Amino acid sequence: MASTLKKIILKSCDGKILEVEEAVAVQSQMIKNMIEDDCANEEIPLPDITGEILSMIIEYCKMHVDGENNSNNELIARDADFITRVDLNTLYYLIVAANFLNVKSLLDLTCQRVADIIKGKSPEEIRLTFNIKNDFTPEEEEEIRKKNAWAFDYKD
Amino acid sequence: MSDYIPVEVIVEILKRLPVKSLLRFRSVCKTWNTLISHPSFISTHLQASLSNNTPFLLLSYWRNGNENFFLHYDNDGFEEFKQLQFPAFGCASYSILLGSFNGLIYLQFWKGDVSKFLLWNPSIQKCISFPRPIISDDVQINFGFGFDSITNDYKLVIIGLEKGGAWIKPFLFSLNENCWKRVNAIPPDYTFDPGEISVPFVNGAVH
Repeated sequence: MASTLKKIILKSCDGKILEVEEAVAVQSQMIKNMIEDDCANEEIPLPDITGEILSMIIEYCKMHVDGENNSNNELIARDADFITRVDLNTLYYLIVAANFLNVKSLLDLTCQRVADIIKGKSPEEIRLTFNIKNDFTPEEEEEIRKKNAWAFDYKD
Repeated sequence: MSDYIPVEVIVEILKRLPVKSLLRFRSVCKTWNTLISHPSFISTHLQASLSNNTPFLLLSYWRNGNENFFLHYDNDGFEEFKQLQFPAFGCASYSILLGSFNGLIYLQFWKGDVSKFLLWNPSIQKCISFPRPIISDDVQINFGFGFDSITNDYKLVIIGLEKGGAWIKPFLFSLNENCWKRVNAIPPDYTFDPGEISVPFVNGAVH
């Protein structure tokens, strides 16, 4: 049986080594599974996550472990404070990392934040935001827009 | 956001968007269009919306000579949330609200003597109408509307009693097949309150 003070060692793609308490690390379902399978005794390499993003994720997980006894409203306020400090580009890397590490509450928080930011945008702005190439012919695009013309009224 | 974003992450973001934004984002690119209109995404989005949104009450009443539909908050204040844009399908003389499930509204409407059923999705402002099957005036009928989670299909059932007290074979409309069928089943022998009204649909069964 592992003691709760056991440290898990994580290594980011840019070589940063972070020691994390097990109670914090198991906020990640992926790491939790590794510990249960006895695969977390050596450092865990995270090939797609930078040290900066990893530190943010650990900060978030620590906040949730420390705040376990806080009221729901306090946690929501802390989450909001955490997420509004993050710009869209960092948000993207956080989402990919939260998805990979399987930190469900962080994935919910980050995806909801992106949804709130983009919901009022036009298709052109979405392409710029996500760097998506428009692969419709002008006729195809016109056809799809016509079908849902009312959705282009940006009143609400 | 410049790099490649995994599809499962895109789905996580899109399922949190209002329907109106999604309809607009269908014209972003072919991948998004396919993703947003795919039945499995629609089902994912529906489940996410059902678990997050506050419940509303659906009301229909006449205002300025027209029948209108409204969503109201289900609380003591009972304030109006929004008016639903009723689809234009010619001038119906009047309609009866028969039920609502998963955000769909099901109506019967009359235009002169002709009666039709209408399945209306206010979120995407689309509706389809289908004819009422021919049933003798001597038969007293009731409707039931519900969702078949096994086949992912919205169905409408009509049960009826003949004057002599015998059940007719029920009529079943399937939205997927877009047609009426007769069912070889006799409803249980309960007292029946006819009146062309809809009966409640709860937990996967017509009551």
